[in-house]
Amino acid sequence: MKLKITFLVLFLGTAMVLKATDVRGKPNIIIILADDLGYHDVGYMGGKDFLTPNIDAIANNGVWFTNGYTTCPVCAPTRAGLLTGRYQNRFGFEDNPGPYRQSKEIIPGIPLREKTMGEYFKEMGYSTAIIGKWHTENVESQNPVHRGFDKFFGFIGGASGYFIGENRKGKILRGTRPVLSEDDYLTDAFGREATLFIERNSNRNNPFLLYVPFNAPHGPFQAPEKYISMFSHIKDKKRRVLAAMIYSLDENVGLITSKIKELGLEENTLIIFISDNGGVLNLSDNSPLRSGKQDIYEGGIRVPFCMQWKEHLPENKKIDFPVISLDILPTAIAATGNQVDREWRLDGVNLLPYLTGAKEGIPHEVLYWRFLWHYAIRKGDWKLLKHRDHTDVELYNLAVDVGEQHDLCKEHPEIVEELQQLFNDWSDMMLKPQWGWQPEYCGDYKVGK
Amino acid sequence: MIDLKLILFAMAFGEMALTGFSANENGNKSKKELPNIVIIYADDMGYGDVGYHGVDDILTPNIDKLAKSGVYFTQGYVSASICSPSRCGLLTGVYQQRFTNGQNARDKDPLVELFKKQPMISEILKPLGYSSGIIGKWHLGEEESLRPNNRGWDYFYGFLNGSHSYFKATKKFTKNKDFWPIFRNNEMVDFEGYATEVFTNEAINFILRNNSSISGRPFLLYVAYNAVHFPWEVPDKYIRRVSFIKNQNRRLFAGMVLAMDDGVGRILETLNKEGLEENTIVIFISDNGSPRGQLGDMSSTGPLRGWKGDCFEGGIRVPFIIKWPGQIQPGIRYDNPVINLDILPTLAEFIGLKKIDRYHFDGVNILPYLKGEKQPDETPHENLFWRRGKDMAIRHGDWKLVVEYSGDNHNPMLFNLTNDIGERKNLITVYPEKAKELQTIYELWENSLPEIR
Repeated sequence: MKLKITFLVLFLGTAMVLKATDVRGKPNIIIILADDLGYHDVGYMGGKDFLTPNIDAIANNGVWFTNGYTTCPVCAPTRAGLLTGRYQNRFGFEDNPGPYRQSKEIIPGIPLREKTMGEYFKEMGYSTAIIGKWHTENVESQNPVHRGFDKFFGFIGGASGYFIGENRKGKILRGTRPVLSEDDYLTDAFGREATLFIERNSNRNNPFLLYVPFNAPHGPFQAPEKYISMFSHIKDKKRRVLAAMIYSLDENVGLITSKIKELGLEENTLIIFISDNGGVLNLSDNSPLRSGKQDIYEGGIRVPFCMQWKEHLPENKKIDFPVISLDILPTAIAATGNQVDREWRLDGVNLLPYLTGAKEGIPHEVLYWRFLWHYAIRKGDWKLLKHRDHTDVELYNLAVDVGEQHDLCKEHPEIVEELQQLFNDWSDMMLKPQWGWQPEYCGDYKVGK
Repeated sequence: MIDLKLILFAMAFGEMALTGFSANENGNKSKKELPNIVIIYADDMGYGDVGYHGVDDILTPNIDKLAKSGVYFTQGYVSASICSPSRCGLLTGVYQQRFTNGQNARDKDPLVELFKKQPMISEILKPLGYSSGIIGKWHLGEEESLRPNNRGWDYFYGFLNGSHSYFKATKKFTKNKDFWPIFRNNEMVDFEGYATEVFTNEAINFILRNNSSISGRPFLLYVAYNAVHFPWEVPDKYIRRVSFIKNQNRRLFAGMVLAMDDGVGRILETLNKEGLEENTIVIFISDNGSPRGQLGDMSSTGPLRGWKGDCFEGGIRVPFIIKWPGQIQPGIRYDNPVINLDILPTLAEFIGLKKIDRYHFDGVNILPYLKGEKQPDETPHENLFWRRGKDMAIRHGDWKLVVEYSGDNHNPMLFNLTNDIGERKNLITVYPEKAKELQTIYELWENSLPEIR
């Protein structure tokens, strides 16, 4: 026994282990995820139609990314990448949960062999919560409370109405149990629960990780009348409702940030804001980018992305080098003072030293995307992509053509070849989609009903 | 006029031709009595990763049962602390430093021509009529002449390189070798499923196809699972079965171990169902100790010091079991040092292979020791040697001299393993004469090795 203890002490001393011991004074982490919010839907990116003063404030108080990406132009895969810090294709989470599977045994969700953000932070001694849309298969084993989150309030599936009332279908859960009713407009309910969690966990002995994936402004398009009437100058009805939904989203972001300010936690809280993918085409505004949600052009994958950490990150700093949603996990871990271990094989990178200028260069040489029938690779300013509806690949120089209008394949065959090879090497390592909506890609075992 | 002599000659010759039997090779046993051999070689499994070593955060019911059904060794060694050289030693019975550079890449080894000439168990047993199969990880050369089918193996299903994804294989030599092809003999196959399960199925099918009571020929089956080597991945169902384990990394690892343990169980069950249990020797050894990865909350070396790659005990002392119905009583624990090099010579002697001396085995026949036919103070090995690069170790009785470059101290260290299994107390200044003695013995061995390291 003595030998064992000596051995334990010896190797703990030399280890880069996540330290669960001394968490006092460590920073809180808040990650706010908007759903289908377009590149130009926010004020600080130049959008004029919608009102987002609170989201704008995060950008003004911190850094904001002009080339901020997510790993997928649709919801659930992006979340899987964000929560694991790894390209979700590595574990077959390429499509949203759907009826088709590779085999009967498959359950859509982040596999147990992959560690989630909640699990990393629990190991470090943090309190953890997720408020909002989780988006995996609706089975208890996939509930967030089994994946590293102490508290969960929200829904498991991909979408929800915003006026719940009596929770007859049991959609809104607190932990694993449905709530009896929810009378607040859902975006307000999430804002309410988030600020309650902050209040209850705001003492410095127990830092918290709070992940708030709002479902706003994802469909169905519903908002309180009082907000819709604020945007009566918008002619398009659907867009008017969208404006109202975004207004409510922003208001609740404001509740969260002002609660942090009120409790004197601004210097000790890293707040990250990002959208899960681009805005819906012909509804949101993704300009100057091409196309939107579901598509592999910039409009589908480049999103509003900003973060603030008073006294630790610069203020009102525009960052142009490419970053991606995978970076959020390692950045958050690094913010706690812990090192990111190479053994975890994260694809994301700790952004902090690049943002403060402590480190020269850029976090990513190359970024990759694969979504069923679409794929893309970005290296420097060059982007090669393959679109479902086009036979040939396309090559764009994003520095001079951010709108992806001028295909340069013929002019630069050597770049096409290089990027194609890089993409193939990456794609070779990815599993085929394990579930989804496309039997040709996801397997043709179909779940009943 | 019928020439009786000619007929008799033809009958004798015909009989020999039919049975494929070389009278020169085997004097004692007819093919029906030759035992089947199953060698299961686990990958990177540590001394602290099996339940029967007193470990409570792992689940290995079938391996534990195997240990109780034969002999398990508390000082079972491998001849190398890393994958490929360890397999070189196992399959030849000779210190691999005699014909390799002791590192992992056979193709890049300056001594590869020596390796090609070194007889392998598949080649040695072939004249006796053994069908041979290797399932899983080869890691003994990728270039064609080094592949299993060109090294005497009748059947190969698995991958050529050292590490592999458990969920995916391609049909090309991808940049990331974890996605290299899975072969069936010389053909790349479509791969589906989870590798540990697939390899188990292949092993079972090999046994069914080569059932010695039907074919009249014994088989040699080498199941080189890539479990529990990196990458660390396993389907959810196995992790759920070890949900009692608190540490998430250890739980994942235990899930991988469980998949292999299930496989061991199914192989043993197949032998039983096919009526082969009484005539099959089953050997279970890990190729080397726990890797340094994940800081020990994945694989565990138990009380031992050091890791895979080290000449410390943690890199070279491993789970080691032999089940041998009719020869070794069940429930035996053997405490004297043995090594993977002993496997082939032990089998060869039992089978009655003639002129064993020509193979110059470094391993010894350990069966008499396991049958209790030796005096208590007699041990199979007076000395055991390890060398990789600048690291070395020699075990002489209870004493061990080690040079280990992974740590801070690059000078030789002396340990007494009876009192200090954890290699904590360096006695080199206390017993300098003992250290010198070991050094001398080691140098004698080292001088017998080829020049290139």
